[in-house]
Amino acid sequence: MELINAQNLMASFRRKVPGLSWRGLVMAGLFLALFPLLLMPIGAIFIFATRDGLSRFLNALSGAAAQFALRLSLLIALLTSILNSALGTLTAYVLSKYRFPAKRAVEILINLPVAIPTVIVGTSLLLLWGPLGLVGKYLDPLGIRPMFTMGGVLLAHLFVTFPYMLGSVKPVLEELEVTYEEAAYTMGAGRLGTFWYVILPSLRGALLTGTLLTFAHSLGEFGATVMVSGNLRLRTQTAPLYIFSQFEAGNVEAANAVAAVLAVLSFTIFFVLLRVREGRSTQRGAVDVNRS
Amino acid sequence: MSIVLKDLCKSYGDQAIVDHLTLEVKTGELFVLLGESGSGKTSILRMIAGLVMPDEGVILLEGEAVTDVPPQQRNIGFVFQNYSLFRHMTVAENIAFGLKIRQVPRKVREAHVERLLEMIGLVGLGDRYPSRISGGQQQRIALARALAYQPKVLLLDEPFGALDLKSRVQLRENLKNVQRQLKITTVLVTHDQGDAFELGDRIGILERGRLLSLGSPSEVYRRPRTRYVAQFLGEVNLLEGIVKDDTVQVGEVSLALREETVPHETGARVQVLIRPEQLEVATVPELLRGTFLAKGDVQSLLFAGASYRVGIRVRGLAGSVTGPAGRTESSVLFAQIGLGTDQAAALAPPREVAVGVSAFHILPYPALRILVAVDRSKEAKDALQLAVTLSKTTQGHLTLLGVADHYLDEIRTKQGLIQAKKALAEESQEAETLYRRGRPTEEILKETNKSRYDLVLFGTRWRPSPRRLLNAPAFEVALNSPIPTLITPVPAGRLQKVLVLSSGEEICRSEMRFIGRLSRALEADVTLLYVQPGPDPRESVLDYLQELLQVLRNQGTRAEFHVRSGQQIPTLLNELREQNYDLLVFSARRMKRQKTFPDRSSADRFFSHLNRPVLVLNAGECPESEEPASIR
Amino acid sequence: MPLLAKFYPWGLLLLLLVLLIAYLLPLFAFGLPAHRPSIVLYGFSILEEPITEGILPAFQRSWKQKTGQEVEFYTSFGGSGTIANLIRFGAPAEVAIFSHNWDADKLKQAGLIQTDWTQFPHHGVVNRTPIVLVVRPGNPKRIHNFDDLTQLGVRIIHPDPQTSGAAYWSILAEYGAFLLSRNPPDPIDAQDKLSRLWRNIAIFGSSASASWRQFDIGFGDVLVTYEQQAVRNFGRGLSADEIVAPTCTVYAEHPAVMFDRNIPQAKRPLISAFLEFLWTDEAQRIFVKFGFRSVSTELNGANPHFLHLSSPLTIADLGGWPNAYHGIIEDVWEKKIIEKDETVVGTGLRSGLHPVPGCEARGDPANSRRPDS
Repeated sequence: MELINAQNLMASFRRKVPGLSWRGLVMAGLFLALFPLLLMPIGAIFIFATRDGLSRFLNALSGAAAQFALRLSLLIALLTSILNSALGTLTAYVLSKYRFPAKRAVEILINLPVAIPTVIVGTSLLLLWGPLGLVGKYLDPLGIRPMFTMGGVLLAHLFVTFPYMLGSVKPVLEELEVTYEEAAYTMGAGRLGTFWYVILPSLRGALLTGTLLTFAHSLGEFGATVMVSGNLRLRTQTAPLYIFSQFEAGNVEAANAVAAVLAVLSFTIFFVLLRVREGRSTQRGAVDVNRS
Repeated sequence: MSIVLKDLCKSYGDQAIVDHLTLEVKTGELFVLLGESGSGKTSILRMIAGLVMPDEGVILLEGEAVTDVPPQQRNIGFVFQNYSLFRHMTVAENIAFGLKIRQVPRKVREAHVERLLEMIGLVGLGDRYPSRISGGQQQRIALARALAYQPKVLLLDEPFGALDLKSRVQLRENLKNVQRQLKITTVLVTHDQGDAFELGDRIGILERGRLLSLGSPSEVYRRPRTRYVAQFLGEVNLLEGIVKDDTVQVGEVSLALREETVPHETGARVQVLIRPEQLEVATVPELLRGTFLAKGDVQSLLFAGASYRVGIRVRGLAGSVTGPAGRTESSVLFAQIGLGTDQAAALAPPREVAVGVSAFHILPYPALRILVAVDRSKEAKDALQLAVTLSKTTQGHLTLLGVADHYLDEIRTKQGLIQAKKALAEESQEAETLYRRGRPTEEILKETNKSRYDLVLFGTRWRPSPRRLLNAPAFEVALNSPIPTLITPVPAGRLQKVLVLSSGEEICRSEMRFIGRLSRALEADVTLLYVQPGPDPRESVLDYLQELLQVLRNQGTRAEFHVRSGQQIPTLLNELREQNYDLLVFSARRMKRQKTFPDRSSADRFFSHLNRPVLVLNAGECPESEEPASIR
Repeated sequence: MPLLAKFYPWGLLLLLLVLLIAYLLPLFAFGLPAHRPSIVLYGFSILEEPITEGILPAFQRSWKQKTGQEVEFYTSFGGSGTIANLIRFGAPAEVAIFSHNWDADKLKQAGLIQTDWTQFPHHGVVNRTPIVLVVRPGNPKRIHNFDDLTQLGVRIIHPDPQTSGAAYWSILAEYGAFLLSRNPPDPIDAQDKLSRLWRNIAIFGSSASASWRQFDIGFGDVLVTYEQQAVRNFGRGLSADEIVAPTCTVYAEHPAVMFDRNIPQAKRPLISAFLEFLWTDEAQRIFVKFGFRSVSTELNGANPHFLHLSSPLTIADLGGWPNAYHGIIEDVWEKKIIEKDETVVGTGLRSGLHPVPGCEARGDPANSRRPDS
C-alpha cells in the first residue's frame, strides 16, 4: 500500500480539477475573509448614503453643519500636520543629537499618546486646561480658555498625532550616519546650513509619510476631540463628531453622507502614502554598498 | 601649510586613545599615519579636522592655533571612509557643495566642477546620483568634493577601505597624481602598508595612541626603531647577537656593522633583524654572494607568486630565533627569494643548504631578565607586580627565588613560591622558580653572580624587624650585588619620574644605559641631579654628565639635568619635595666609597623616611674603558 | 497617464494641497470672526430637531426684524447628563435646556448658575412630555402598564441613567406608578417591582433618541421613552409601532437655565430676549408641532397624536426634585437595586406621600387633581 501524504493528496486533487491552483485558492480564501471585515462595512456606508438617491446625498452634504464639520476637520488636520512636522523634526533632531539625563524616559513619554486611549488624552487635557482644571482655573479669570475652542481641538490633535510624526522621522534621522553631517561641516557648512541642505532633504520621504499619517489620524480623531471640543455645531464639531451626533439623533443619511466623504478622503491619503513608500524604497536601493 | 600637533591627548573613559602625540607635517607633503584599528589614527585625523576636541594638547595649522576652531573654519578637505556622498544630490551638486556654501556664483561653480571631474577622470558623470555609480568612482568623487573649494589641508580616512585590489592600485595612483599636482598638504590614515609605502612621503607608525616611529618609508622599513615596528611592517627574522667592536657576533659568525649604526658598547646584547628578502639560500656556502650565516635544512618551500618563501631550520645559531610576526619557532629562518622552477626543485625539502645575509639591522635588546626575591610578605607581592610589568613590557624573563633559613621555614617558603607562581599564571606570566636553603643574603648573592640576570627585585619595608625575612638582606644584597637592585617598599604604582643622584664620578655609561633601558620599559622620564660640593662646578664633571644625558636621549628617553649646590642628602631631600619622583637611583659604589651613610641603621632610617622605590646600581667596578677620566 | 507620472507624486500632492486650501477658505469668511452676535445653546437630545429646525430660525427672524442683526447659534445636543457634565467641565454654554431640574441643580451647586431659573415663567419649564411605552405592532406581549414590564421574558430598551435625563424620569415614573397605585403606598412592593423591571432591561441607550434608535433597529419588545419621540415618529409615518400610555406616569418637565458666568454683560439683553422667546406662543406652538406638550396647555390641542393620560404625575407629587432624587433614585434604585445594599433604611421617600387616586384606577379621566392635557 502506498503511503498517502498530504502532498500526494494535493497533487492528485490538483490533477482532478485542472486549472485550480493552490495559489488561487489561498488568495480566494483571503479575499473571503477580508470581505466582511473590511470591504462590506465600507460598502455599507456608501450604500446607505446613496440609498435615497444622489440628490438627497448631496443635500445632506451641503447642510451648513455638515460643510462646517468637513472643513473644520480638514483645517485641523492640515494645521496639525504642518505644526507636527516642525515639532516632530525638531524633537527628532534633538533626541538623536544630544545626550542628556533621563533621555530614555523622555523618549518613552513622548510616545505615550500612542499607547493611551485617545479619550484619556482628551480627559487629561480637560482636567488640566479646563476652567476647573489644575492650570486652567488660574487662567480662566484672565479670560484664557483654551478648551472647547478650535484651539483646544488643535492641541488635542497635536498631542495625539505627535508620536506618528516622530516615529516616521526619527528612525530616518538616526539612520543618517554622523559622517553625513560631518562631511558638510568640513566643507564649511554651519549647523543651520547643514540642516537645510543635507539633513532636511534626506528627510523628505519620512516627512511626507509622517504628514500623511498625521493627516489621516487627525481626520479620524474622535476620542480626544469629543472630550475637549464640547461638540459645538458650527464651532468645534469636527466631521467624526458630526457623524456620531447625527447618528445618535437619527439622521442616518446625513451621518453616512459625511462618513462617505471621509472614507474617500482617507482612501486617497493612504493610496498616496503607499505610492510614496514604494517610490522611496526603490530610490534608496544601492547606496549602502560602501558602508565599511 | 604645515600641521603641528603638540602633546595631543584624547581618552574615552579611562581608555587613552591618543597619548601625548607630537607630530609635524611639512607643507605639501603626503603624510601617512599607519596603525592597526584602535591605534588612534582616526581620532587624530578627526582632531585635526576639528570634528573631535582633544582633551589636551595644541593643534596648529599654518602656525595658527586651531584647537578651538570649529571644522567649518579650518578650511580643510576631508574624505570619509564611507565617502558620505549626499544621496539626494547629483554628483555635480555634491562636488559643488563646498563652493555653494561659500556662495560662489553658479557659472563659476559649474566650471570648477567640470575641471575637477576631468582631474579625477569622471567627465560626464555629473548628473548621476551616487547610488548609481561604483565604489571606486564614489571615492574619487568624494576626493573631488573635498578639493573643490581649495582647502589648505586634505585629510583622508582609510579612503581605499572597501575596494578590491585593482581599484586600490588605480586610486592610489590617482590620489598621488592629484596631490602632486595640487601640492596640497595631505594626511592619510590607513592600516594598509601598501598604501603607506606607495603614497607616503613620510610615515608615522601609531600604536595605542603613541607614535612609535617616524620617517620615510624606506627608513622605517629598513631601519625600524623597535621590534614591534619591524614586525608591523612585514615579516622579519630576529636573531640574538653580541656586539664586538665594529662587528656583531651571531652564533659563530661575525657580521660587519655599518658605519651609521648607533654605537653599542662591546659586549652589549642586541637583536639582529633580517628581512626575508635579505636572506640568501644556496646549496653550498661558496655560492653565496652575501655573508655566510649558517647551515641548515630546508623545512618548507612555498610558492607565493612573485617569489618563494623558504623556511630553513638552521644550526649553530645559539639563543632564540624568533620568526616573523612574533611567532617563535626556534631556529627557523624564513627567506623570500625569486626562483625559477628548476631552482625551486633543487631546494625541495629536506635539502641541506647554506644561508647568507646581504643586509641586516640591529636593535638594542630590551628584554630584562629579572630575579625576584620572594617571601610571603605583602611587599613581596607588590614587588612581584612590578616585576610582571617590567617583564611584560620588555618581553623579558622572570625568576622567583625563595630562600629558607632552616628547615622549619622550608614548607612556608615553598608554599610562598607556589602561590607566587599561581598569581603570575593568572596574569599569563610565566616564571621560573628556585628554592635554596641557607642564609638569604648569601644565597641571593650567589644567584646574582651567575650572570643570568639583569636586575634583582626586592619588596621590603624599611622598618627593621627580625621577622621580615628580607629586610636586612635587601640592603646588604644591594651593596654587594654585581647587578642593579630594585627595592620597593611600597606598592609601585606607575613609575613615571626617575631621579638619578650623581656626583659625577660614580656612574658608568653602561649603568646609564641600563637606567635608560629600565626607563623606556617603564615609560618614565629621567632627571639627573648633580649636587656640586662647592660653588664652582667642575667642568669635566659637567661635560661627563652631559654625555651620560646624551646616552639616555639616544635611547629615546626624556631626560633632564638639574644642578644644585649644597650638601648631598639635604639637597636631595629638597629636590624630592619639590618634584614628585617615583624612583630614586643611587650608586652602590658611591654609597660604599663616600660613606654617605655612616652605618646601616642611618641608611635604614633615611630610606624608610623616603618610602619610595630605590634602584641601587651594581656594586662592581666600571669596566676600564668606561671609567670617567676624573676618577683615574 | 504619462503626463501625470511626470509630476508624480509631488506634483499631485501640490495640486491636492491647493484644492484643499481653496476648500478651506470659506471657513474664514464664514464662521470664525467673533463680531457677529451669537448664542451658545446646549440642549438635551430630543430637543435637537425642534430647536434647530423650528425655534432657532424663528428667533433669528424675530430678532432680525426687531434689531436688524443676524444672530448665530452654536448648539450642542446630547444626553442631559452628558451635556451637564460638559458644562461642568467648562463648556462655554450660555443657555441650556436640561431634561430635568436635578441636572440644573447640580450645576447651580457647582456655582455655574447664578440666576434662579425657577423665577422664569412656568418655573423655568419650557415644555413637558410624559413617559410612555412603545411596543411592537399589534402589541404581541400585551403590555399596557409598567406592571407588565415586570413580567419575565419582556425585553426592555431603557435610557441609561448615567447619561440620559429620560432615565431618571423613567425610573420616577415606574417607581411612582408602583408606589402610588396601592393604598396605602407600599415601598417594599414598589421596590421589588422596580427591581424586577430592571432585570428585564436588555439595552441602555445613552440618550432618549439613542434609545429610540436601538428599538427602531429591532432590539427589545418595549421601549421606555418620552411621548415626544413616539409622537414625532408616528406623526411622520416613520413607525408602525404602537404607543401605550401607562395608567400612571410622570410628566418630564424641561427647564431652561442661563449661565451668567459665560455671558458677557453686553450680551445679556440678547440672551434674555431668547429666553423670553421660548415662552411665547410662537415658540410653544413650534414645540407642540414637534411633539412636546406646551406649558400653555390650551395649545396642546394642535397636535392630534398626543395620548390621553389618565393619571399623570408631576415631580411635585413625588416630593419635588431633591426629595425624589435622594429618596427614589439614590436610596431605592441606586443603593438597593443596583448595589443591593440592604442596610439603607427608608421608606423610599423622605416626606409622606398619599396615594394618587386614579393611579390604580384604570381609565377614569375625570378623577384627577392635576393639570391635565
